[in-house]
Amino acid sequence: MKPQPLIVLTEDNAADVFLVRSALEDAGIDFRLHVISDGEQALRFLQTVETDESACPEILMVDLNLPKLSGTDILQNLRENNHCAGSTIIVLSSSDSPKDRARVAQLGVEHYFLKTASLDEFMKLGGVVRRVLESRDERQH
Amino acid sequence: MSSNGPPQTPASSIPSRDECEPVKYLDRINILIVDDEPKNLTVLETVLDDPGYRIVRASSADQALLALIADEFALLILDIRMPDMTGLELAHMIKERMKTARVPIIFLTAYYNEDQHVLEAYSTGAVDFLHKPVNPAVLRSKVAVFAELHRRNLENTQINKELLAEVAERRRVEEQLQFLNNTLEKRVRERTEELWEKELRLRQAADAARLTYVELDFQQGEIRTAENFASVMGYAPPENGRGNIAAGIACFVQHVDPRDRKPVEAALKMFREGKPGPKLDYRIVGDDHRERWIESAWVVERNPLGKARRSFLTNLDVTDRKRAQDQLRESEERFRQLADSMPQMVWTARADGEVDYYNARWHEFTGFGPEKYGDLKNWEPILHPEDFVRTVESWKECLRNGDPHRVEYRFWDRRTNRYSWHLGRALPFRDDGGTIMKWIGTCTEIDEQKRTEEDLRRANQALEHFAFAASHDLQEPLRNVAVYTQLLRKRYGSSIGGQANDFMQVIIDGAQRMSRLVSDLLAYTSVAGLDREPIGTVDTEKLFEQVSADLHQVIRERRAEVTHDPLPRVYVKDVHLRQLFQNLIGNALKYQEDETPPKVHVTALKVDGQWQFSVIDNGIGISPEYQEQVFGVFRRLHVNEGKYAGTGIGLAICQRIVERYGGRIWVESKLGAGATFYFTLPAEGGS
Repeated sequence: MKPQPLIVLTEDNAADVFLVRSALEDAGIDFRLHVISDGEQALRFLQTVETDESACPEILMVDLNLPKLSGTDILQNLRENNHCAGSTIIVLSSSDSPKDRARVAQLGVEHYFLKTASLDEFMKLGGVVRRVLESRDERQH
Repeated sequence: MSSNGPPQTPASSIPSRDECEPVKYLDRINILIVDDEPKNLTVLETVLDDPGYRIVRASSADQALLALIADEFALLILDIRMPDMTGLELAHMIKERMKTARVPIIFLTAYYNEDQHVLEAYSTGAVDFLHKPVNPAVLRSKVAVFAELHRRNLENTQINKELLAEVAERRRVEEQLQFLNNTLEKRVRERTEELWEKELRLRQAADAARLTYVELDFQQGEIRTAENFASVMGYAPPENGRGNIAAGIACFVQHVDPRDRKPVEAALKMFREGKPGPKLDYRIVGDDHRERWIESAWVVERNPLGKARRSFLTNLDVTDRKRAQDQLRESEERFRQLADSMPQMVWTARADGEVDYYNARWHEFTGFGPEKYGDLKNWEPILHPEDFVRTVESWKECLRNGDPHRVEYRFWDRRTNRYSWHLGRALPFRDDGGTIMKWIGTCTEIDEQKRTEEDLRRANQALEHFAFAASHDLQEPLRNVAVYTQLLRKRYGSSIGGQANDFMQVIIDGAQRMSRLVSDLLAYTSVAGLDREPIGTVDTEKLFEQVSADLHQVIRERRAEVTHDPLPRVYVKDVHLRQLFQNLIGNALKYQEDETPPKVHVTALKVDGQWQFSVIDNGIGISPEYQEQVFGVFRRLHVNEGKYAGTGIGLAICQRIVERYGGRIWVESKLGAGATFYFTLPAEGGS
């Protein structure tokens, strides 16, 4: 595994951010986490990746319900401008509705992670991320 | 005028008799004198010197013959005695030739006692003898006689010739005339036959059409009628069709129905005077007392000076047509009465789509009247601008393919001063052959319904948005509570001790349950959406496999059997059918005794044009008094924990889904003996 892979997380709920960290730590991943918690930060991130490809994370975790600039808007922007095409996108959502799933499927999202009220379920996120990172390494070699 | 001697013309230039002009009897006559003694010739010449004579001299028989060839002579004076040929011999020769056969010859002889000569001479055709020396006076007078004779002869010949020519001419002309006559006769015969045929055909056509005619001949002051006059008009014309004008007209007027007499008489006046006039309809009562409708028209033929020569009038029996028109008018009248008494707005249009009638109610509502008949575009002032184009297009489409017309649009309501929704419909009316004859249309006010629908839609949409937002906003804190309590227990549970874990569990359970309720509630509200997404057809069998796959863990754990009969394609949204199967099959797997492997079987049957599905299980069953309740929201028959945990929304959602498609859902079951859940959905191609 690449040392300290960059994971960008768009999430405004601090409690959920803590949970994500816990899940990743529990899975034994050595990561760098960059959190975008509002629309402004999101815009800045988008601007940065326009010019600096290295700013693109290994994994982009997007919570769909970000205020002001929604997760889907960010994904759409990236897709239209073809930035961070190499990043693996994991969507975090509390909605299980097929409509929402379908919407993001169109945006090239590979993983849709459902945020439930179960701690154990949430912790599985760690395993998911680990597998993603491992398969990325494999692809590169 | 003196003669110059024998003609010296060379033989070749001697013109033939035919080439000469006929001798006019004022021309000089030729006399040939023949004597071998030139002296004698001179004497004779002198004696016979006269402007009317042309003397030609010949001194030998040969010369004489030559001269005779060249000219025509009235008289020959021959000397009997000549060296090479006697006069007698010459005379013979002359007589032998046709041409000269009749020329009179006077012989001159010197011998007195030559009686035998005399006889001989007469036998040769001589006409006279003279003794030399010749008495000049005697000679002259004899010659004069012959001259005169010749002249007369010539005259006669000429006249004869002319007569013959005339006769020949006459004969030729006669022949030509005869020929022309023959051909003329033939042509006339042919033309007559043609005309006969034409007339026959005309007559047949006229009879078939019940058309007759009348001819007014101004020159002869006669009225002539066609043969079929009586059969068409119902009475026989006076004088059998060829009579005096006044009588004919009077007889006609007698038969005209009194109600129509006035216009008929006015028209008659024009007809008699040879003035043109318009067509006229009127009733006639025949001698058989039957009433007929007749349509008359006439033309006037004038001579080059403009004076009327003939009037030609046709009478057509239009009784059938009139009757049909009357019937039509009657039925239209009846229709209008009916339409006007209806509370609905009614209009009619011709087969070509032109509106020709609005009923009273229509007029009341729109203020329109006959001035707005015609093209549907005339509705523009009362139609909502957004609906105008759509309405007219739809109408045109229906006119094209004859389908019933159905469209919703907004009419301006004068009473309330706003637009009001109406349902416009029109049906075509066809004759026996299937051709569209008329369209009958109605406009029904549906404003209230439409507004209610609209409100409902908006309300639903608002509800959906609210539910969506609310659920997310409610879910997050709930999740936090549940998850963090779990985290608390996990990390610090052992150190707190006591009943802390149990208490924390209660918190966790409560939060989790609440979370589930919220998402179920969201699922329930989203089913009701009157969304406009198009429904497609779903391959039920494929969906079934997918749902089975989703539930495969439970199926494996409980060693369940999930099967199905052939399943049809249905006309619903994929997500809805999925939810139905997930819930129903999920329930069937859940509500089962631990030890018994659940068996679930799905079938489909076509009933009344819809598909009726059955989900049959071998579970714990439902007692009859609860079979309706189970579909209620959050209604459960069990405590919400343990193996039969659930939120009680699953079946409610199923019911909502099924009802959205106009179907039904119900259950048949006996406690402890399994349950069969039935639901109906529209078949492919339906709506």
